[in-house]
Amino acid sequence: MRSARTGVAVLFNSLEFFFFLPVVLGLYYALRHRAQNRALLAASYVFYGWWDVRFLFLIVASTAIDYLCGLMIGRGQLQRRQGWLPFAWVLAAAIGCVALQWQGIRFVEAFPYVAADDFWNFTWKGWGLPLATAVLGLVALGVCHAAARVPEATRKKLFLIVSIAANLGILAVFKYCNFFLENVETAVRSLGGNVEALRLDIVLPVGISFYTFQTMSYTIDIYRGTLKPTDRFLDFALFVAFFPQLVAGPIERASNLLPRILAPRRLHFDAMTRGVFLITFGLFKKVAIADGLARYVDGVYGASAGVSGADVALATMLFAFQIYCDFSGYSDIARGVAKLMGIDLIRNFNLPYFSRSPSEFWQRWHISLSGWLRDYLYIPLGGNRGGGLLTYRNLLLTMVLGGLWHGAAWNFVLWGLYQGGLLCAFRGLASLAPESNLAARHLTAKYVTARPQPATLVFLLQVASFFALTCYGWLLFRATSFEQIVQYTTLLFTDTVPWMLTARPSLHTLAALALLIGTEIIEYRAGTVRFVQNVPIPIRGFAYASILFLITIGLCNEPTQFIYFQF
Amino acid sequence: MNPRNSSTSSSSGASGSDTRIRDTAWVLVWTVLSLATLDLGVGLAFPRHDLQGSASFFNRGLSNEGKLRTALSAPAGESPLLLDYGWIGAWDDLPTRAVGAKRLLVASYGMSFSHRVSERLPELDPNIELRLVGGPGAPLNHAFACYQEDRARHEADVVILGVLASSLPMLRSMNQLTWAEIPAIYTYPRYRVDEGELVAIKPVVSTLDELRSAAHDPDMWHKFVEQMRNHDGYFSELSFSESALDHSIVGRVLRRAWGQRHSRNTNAQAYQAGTFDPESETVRVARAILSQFADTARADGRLPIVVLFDNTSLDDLDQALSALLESEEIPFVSSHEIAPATDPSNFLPDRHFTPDVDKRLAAAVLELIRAHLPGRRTDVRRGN
Repeated sequence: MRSARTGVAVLFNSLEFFFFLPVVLGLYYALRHRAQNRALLAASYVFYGWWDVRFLFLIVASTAIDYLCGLMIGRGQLQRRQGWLPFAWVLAAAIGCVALQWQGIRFVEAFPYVAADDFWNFTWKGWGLPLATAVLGLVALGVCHAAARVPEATRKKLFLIVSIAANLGILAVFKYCNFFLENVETAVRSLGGNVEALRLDIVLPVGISFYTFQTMSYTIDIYRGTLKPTDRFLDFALFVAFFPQLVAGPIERASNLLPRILAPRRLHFDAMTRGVFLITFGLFKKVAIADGLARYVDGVYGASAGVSGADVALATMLFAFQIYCDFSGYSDIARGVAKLMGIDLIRNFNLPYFSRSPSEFWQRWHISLSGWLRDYLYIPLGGNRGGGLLTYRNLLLTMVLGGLWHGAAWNFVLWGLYQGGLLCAFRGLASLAPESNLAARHLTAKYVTARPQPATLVFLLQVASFFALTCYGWLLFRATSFEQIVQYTTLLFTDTVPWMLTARPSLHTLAALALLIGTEIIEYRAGTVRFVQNVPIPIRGFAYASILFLITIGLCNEPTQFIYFQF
Repeated sequence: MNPRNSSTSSSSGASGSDTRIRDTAWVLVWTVLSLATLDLGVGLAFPRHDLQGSASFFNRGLSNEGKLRTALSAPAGESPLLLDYGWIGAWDDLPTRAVGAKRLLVASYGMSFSHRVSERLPELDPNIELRLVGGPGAPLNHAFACYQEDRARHEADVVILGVLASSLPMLRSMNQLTWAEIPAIYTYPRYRVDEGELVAIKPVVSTLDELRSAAHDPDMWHKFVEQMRNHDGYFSELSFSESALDHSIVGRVLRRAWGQRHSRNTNAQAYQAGTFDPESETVRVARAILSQFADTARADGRLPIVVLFDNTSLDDLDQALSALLESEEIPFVSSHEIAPATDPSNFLPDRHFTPDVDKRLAAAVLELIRAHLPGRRTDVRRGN
């Protein structure tokens, strides 16, 4: 099934998802555990394939590779079925998703969708990929059987390398290849060489950075001995492709999500109401706030000239809220949808703009990624065990690679370097102050605790000043080129001209933002997300009605793709 | 001896669960009541028929049929929609030839962008007389239909056709009711390319009087709506027809969101990979229109000039149409070379070009006139 609009993912705030979710949930509630998992797997493949069915092959291949590697690392050998099922699965994907193309449905109107005139027209693109897949698959199975005789330590290391190389290889080809080629081209030209444009026509698969990191964590945890491999291939495939978190996280650890998939789920009323609330609140953040701010932010960052320092400052600050609402909104919807199925996903954001230091920020912002970088990059590099300089090196390297994870562009590298620089600077400042100094303890805080900090003037100044530092990082992140970074930084610090752009975010968007900030202040002071249960029911009802009303109004904003889809 | 506690953990758990279900039910009730109150309150605060003032945000989601009937039934001068402008053929008292000191009559067809540029021409060359024909927000098919209707009515030396990037996809429509939230209600033909020929589907209602009559004639109204349903690419039953949604603020906003989504999806059919799709019906019809415009203008002994207003991106319109204009040697001005849309300082708050940009575009048009009509050159006063 190919969409005539390839390149458009199913958004959580789209009409397609509005129909997709009830169908999936209805099927889910009607089935038992194993059948639920099969139905979810099919739904996840439909969800991802809606964007471009060809890239389902990539996910399936990545799934099969890590499933086999996990078994070889953890158990050292394959049972017969353990090898042939993934092989058949990948081969079927090569044939069904890539080699065989079917223009069954054409989306010619917004709604309803209509069948194409050439409904039964199948196109065969050739035997190349299926044959290559079959050959490579057989070779892989042969290697696995032969490797059973290899000493355990060597075998474990070998298959860990295979898993990491395969995942990073996929990333390198689909995400970083053109970035690398462009830089080679630039370097050759700067040396006086003459080279034709080296860019390849490669489409960046949606969610590739998320699912490759997720599957890598599986094999690494098995290697470390903290996780046992699963021999249920289709359940493992669901762990990789679980649609609520497939394309924009949270990046789940196998130790958290896999057991929940492997075991029967129980649905609790509390969890389901919480799920509905998370979905609603996530939509509120995305539709009413993020999409409403996008137009103004895009207007400033899309301009080639004619903006002032005040415009840059305002747009950057609003971008800070746009990206937060966009990304945390998506995460909330993902968690809410998963809760409706009795599955708990990791909380990915914990009031990040209340942070007063970079270490606190990274315990509150994109928690799943920062945890992944800490456990699989920072600590293996040595963490803070090697003393001052080595710690700074590890921090910088981790954050630069974290920046690069976001995208193949120098502004993301700069952003990572900036974040690493902040971490180093705060660490350095703390090391200069006495141990007993509260400020020192704060600067190196590992202290995201349930207890909120008192709203003193010092606290407010700390939050405001760190927010300003964070916003400058967002300028680096959002800028469309290095030249724009230089230009807008200069404007920010030297331009005294007031607003030049007359377009502003709408009143209802700003009202929604004010409501969100007020809610988060209350949540922060209460120290728990469950604070709403202490609010009188009529007031709660009015608040929910306001949220729904603002969502309805926000539907008039032009929908933008979730920012993290591009990563 | 203490009596046994008759409550068991299971029964306290069950009552706890019952409490939560009851509380949730009450929250739902209060949410629905609050939403209904908000709907009613906002509806009372913002009058339903105010389409231009502070209530316009909520009332833009009224049905198109509802907006139209409201506009037609309003007292003269109080209609919330533009009724009198843009009807094809309904223009009087326009210059038909250059008279007196004027040496050149320039007839300009299009929308506000092209008229704002054309109005600068006499400032740059006082020998130019203007004949401006068009409509507010008029797409290319309206401008071309006006040109065709006007051909025999004047003796202009130069004819200018304006093409606006943001309204190019709308040449698949037959009036603004189907795509504009605050529409002017004039109608215009839809053009199609049939076996290489440009074919017009003329509107069944083509004057304001006919529209007023149709509002009271169910058969005529049915034909009017049916033609839009069959031939207007932007028509949506949900957005057009009056229904209970008109009586609720939430309903209107939802319909507005739906209408915007529908328009965006319809617009998108003219695009491919972020720019105009050369194979789309929109671009093929636009090219056919420009070609016929130039052919007929030359047959009438007039100089055709096309002005491309790239107001949404850098040069999408230029990329889609300039190859044809160059191959058929049709003089044209492309705004992206003078005022790129990526520079916000080129625009006023209402998204028109600034007067300075209008003047620079007019100077470029004047250069073309002087280059192609050298025999008609006069002492011209160059603008700054």
